[in-house]
Amino acid sequence: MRMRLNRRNFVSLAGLGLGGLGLGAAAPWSRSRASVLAPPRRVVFVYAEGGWTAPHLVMRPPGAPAEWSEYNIYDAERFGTVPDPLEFEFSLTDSSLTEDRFSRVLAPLYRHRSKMTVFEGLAMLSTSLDPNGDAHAQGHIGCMSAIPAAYTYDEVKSWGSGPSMDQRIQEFLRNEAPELRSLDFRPSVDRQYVELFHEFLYRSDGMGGAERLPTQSDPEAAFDDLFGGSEVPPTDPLELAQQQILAVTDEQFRDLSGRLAGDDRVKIETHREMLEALRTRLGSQVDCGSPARPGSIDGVDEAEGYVQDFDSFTQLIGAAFACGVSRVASLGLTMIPPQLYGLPSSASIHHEYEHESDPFVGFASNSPFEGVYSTQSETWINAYEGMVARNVWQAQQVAKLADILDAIPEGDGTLLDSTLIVYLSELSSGVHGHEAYPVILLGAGGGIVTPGRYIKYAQSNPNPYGRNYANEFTGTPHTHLFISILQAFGMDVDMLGAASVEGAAPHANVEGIVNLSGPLPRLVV
Amino acid sequence: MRIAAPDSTDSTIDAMLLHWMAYRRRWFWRSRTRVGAVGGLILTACHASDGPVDAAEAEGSGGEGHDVGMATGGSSDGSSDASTAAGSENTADAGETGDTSTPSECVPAASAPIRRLSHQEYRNTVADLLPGLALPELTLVSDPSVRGFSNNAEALAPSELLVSQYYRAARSIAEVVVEDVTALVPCDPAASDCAAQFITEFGLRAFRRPLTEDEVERYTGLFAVSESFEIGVAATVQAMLQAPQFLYRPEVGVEEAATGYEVASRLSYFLWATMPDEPLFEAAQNGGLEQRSGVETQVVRMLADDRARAGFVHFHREWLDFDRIMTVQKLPEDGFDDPVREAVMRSAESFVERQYSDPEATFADLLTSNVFAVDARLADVLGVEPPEDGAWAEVEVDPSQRSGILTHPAILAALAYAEYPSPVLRGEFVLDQLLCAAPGPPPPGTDTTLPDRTESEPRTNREIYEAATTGKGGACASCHLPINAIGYSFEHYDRIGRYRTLDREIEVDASGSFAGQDFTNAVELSAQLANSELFTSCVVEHWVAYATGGDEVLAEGCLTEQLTERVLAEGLGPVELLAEIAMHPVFTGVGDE
Repeated sequence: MRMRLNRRNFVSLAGLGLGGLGLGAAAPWSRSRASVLAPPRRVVFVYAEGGWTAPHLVMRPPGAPAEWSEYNIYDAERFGTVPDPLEFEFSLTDSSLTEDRFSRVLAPLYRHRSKMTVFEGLAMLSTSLDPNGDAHAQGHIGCMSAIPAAYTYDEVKSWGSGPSMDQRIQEFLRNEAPELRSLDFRPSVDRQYVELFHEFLYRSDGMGGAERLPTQSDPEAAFDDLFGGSEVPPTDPLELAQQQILAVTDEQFRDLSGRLAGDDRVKIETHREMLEALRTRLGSQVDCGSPARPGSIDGVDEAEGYVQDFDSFTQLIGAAFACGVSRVASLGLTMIPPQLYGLPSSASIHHEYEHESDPFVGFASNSPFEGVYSTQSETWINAYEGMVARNVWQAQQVAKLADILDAIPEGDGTLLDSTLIVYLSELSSGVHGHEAYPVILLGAGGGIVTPGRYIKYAQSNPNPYGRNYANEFTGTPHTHLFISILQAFGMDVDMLGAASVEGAAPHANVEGIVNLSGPLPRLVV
Repeated sequence: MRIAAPDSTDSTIDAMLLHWMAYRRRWFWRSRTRVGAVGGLILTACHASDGPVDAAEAEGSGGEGHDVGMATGGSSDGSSDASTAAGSENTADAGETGDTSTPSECVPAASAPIRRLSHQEYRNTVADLLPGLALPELTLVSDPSVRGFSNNAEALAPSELLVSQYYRAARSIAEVVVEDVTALVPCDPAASDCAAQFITEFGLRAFRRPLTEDEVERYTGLFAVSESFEIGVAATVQAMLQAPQFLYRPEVGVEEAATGYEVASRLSYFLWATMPDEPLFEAAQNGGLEQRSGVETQVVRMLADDRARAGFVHFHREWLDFDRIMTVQKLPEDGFDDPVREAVMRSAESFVERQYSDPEATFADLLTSNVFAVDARLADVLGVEPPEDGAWAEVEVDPSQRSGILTHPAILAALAYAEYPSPVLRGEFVLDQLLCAAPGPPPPGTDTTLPDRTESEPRTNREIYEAATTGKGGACASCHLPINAIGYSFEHYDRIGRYRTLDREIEVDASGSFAGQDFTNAVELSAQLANSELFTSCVVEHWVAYATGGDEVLAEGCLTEQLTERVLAEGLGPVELLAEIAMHPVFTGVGDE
């Protein structure tokens, strides 16, 4: 699709920072404007459901001090009641850190190591304040919202009480640029939209609460919605009539709105505004080159179709970011066909693998860096290796997203330099862990983080609540990272949900307040 | 409110149910959405306020009661007496909690809140509006569910994605229309007034009322700029399918009374989940819906239509959450594959459909009938003789083993985990959906971790749950006593609903008590529930909520109360209840003659 950039649209789109994208001919989407404006900041939240295999994610560089590998959070007998105050960091781009020395889960991201930041030692302490739902539900909401849910239902599920991080940023950005779209993609087998058992994404409902954010599982529909769906200037008479059709519809909405009051009027006006925004998008003409329309998955194997659609969504994110129609995206890696990472297609992942892969079993007496499991149980080994395989596959997919963004030149760098990919999961392990919680950032987000580093944070906060944390001392709250991200986007936020939580480590006779507010230190050097 | 000590028996459960009904009215309905959660196995006090309540610390009459706080800050004065309330099913006596369930004068509703068409209503309406067309597949993001129903007016809000999907759907339909407009156009396209005729007639059906002059002019203008007659028709169709007058059911009334067309829509969307048909439109146009007699004529006609039967089944599908059977996780070794799940779904729908077809059916039949439709796969689960391969047959299952929908795998398998059944899920389901007495969420700090089952000494499912919940005494028991008491009645059914007498080689104990009556299993409990006024009023309440799109005032107020009284006094059956709702002045806005 190639449409002409006219004066009106150039002015509005320049306000979105599009003018700074001097994309070269090699880029998938080329732009005509060559000058550079201040790099905009964008964010993509990639949520990979099912938990990490953190022991196979953490890593140490060659020649690291021995003390860096002494503390084993999974050895409850030796370390369950003592803190780990050690903090350190090392460069991921050091020449001695070859690809084979990267951990299994991080190895797929090796080519992006210079633009990657890995966090070890975080913990989802915000979930300790959430009385709602089971550890899964708390993790789903905690990992994307960091605030307690509103209530529990169906015994173990919970309902969010506020917007998730992506929507929080989206709502903030739209204050100044209402045209900005939020991209909420989640590939699904056969593109059938399926509600997750626990949900990740929420947006404000306009009444102080939250409603679930529907996600798009059809890349073709997403393409049509984002780019108008036509590859040539319209000649089809029905296509030519679209603006007039929507204009008439807008008048119908105004007619009705004028006769309503209160909540009814609000509902109709909201709908009208959304339709108006759609009409604007359909009518805008943007020189974004020729993004390819995603292909159909008719006749495609369901697993291959899942991958195809995921790839299509990454392309759409890249195109939408390049064209400036969006600055916020979420991408779900959920309900993944198990055969994609080597497990039987009929595998009961949750019960046969996730729940059987407890790292406190497999690393109870052997540190992750020793390369030896503490158990010879075939059940455990099979389950844990299956989970590692899934994490590796997920990381491979995220690497492809980074490839897309890193291939789009922007100024002296690429789109990835001004974008932040936040790659996380709802659990640190398949057995409900919220401590030893890894988070991976890709990109620099315009400078909110100095990338290319592996940062280890202390795990010396007294455990606020025993349910999701096995040891008496737990890690640095992930809430700080979220606050840093929000502040980087210009939001005046210093706290999410709660300012602190009380914790205790009885054996060490330690009690105290764990601070949850404020940004995460050491993000920028 | 005060409840008796956890180790009391029947009076505790009765008192809890009564208090919960009042408690729920105050808190859950304000919350708008389904909050009937038990929140895991291990609960403390049945409230959502400040934390667990220790019965041993409570003071009060007899020294054994303890207060249960209110979620919204409203506090009980503690004056309710559990022993007084026990045995009485007059929910008006729960007024000490501030509940305003005293029946008030029922007045006709002038207008209802604006309601967006649910996806089911949208699809049905599109199909009926455009008969004879090969409609494309329409993709719509899932509707939110409130207490199981996807037609809650307040919850059906627009979203960017949905607006975009409506656009794509309307556009794709327009592309079909443009290929052959003759199916829609009632006149010769060459005739000069054909466009106007089409706009007027199609517009009336699309908007479910005559177009205003401004609207006719608007769509005529759209026609005028269209390249051809066919494009004009397609453009008009696309525009109308996205208009709020199509997507929503606005009721602005005329002189403070609902218009005939608005009454027609209320009737058709309640009974058929679709737009009015021609006779209903004619009645609206001719004043045939301005008096109760006219409404009654239409209601009788509509209930005889197959669409009413489909609507009846749809209500039960949502109320009893039949769809859950398609997604609940099961272990591969149970063989609970898609064909079995589809068979369970079909059997459950057939079961409730029989209630519609049988003029003698009562509400009790839902809980007491033992006639199930089965195929070979489902027969295996139920332990009955299978029909021929590929065939379906109605069989009478052993009445000592199964009775009613609560003993059907559609419920039992759906309310079980992959490895074991959950008396908590099952008990909470009965309390919430059949007795409208959902327990509140657990208080802060509650551990909802499911119990470990790797202990060396085998215990039954019941014993494990008891140790984890009521066995802890105190605040946990205050919620779990009534929940589990009902839930244990289903212990004869395993994780996919197969009947069993042994659980881990130990004889199953499914005994308990409800409303002062002992039972030994789910069959007996179902019979007790069927005779319970709580059940009857709850079913009526659900129907009223469904009919009104979750209107709190109507569902909680006089409409439900009046209809419940009539059902109990006159023995009205399910279809008769539908008729009474449809003809009620509060629902239609049409008063008595």
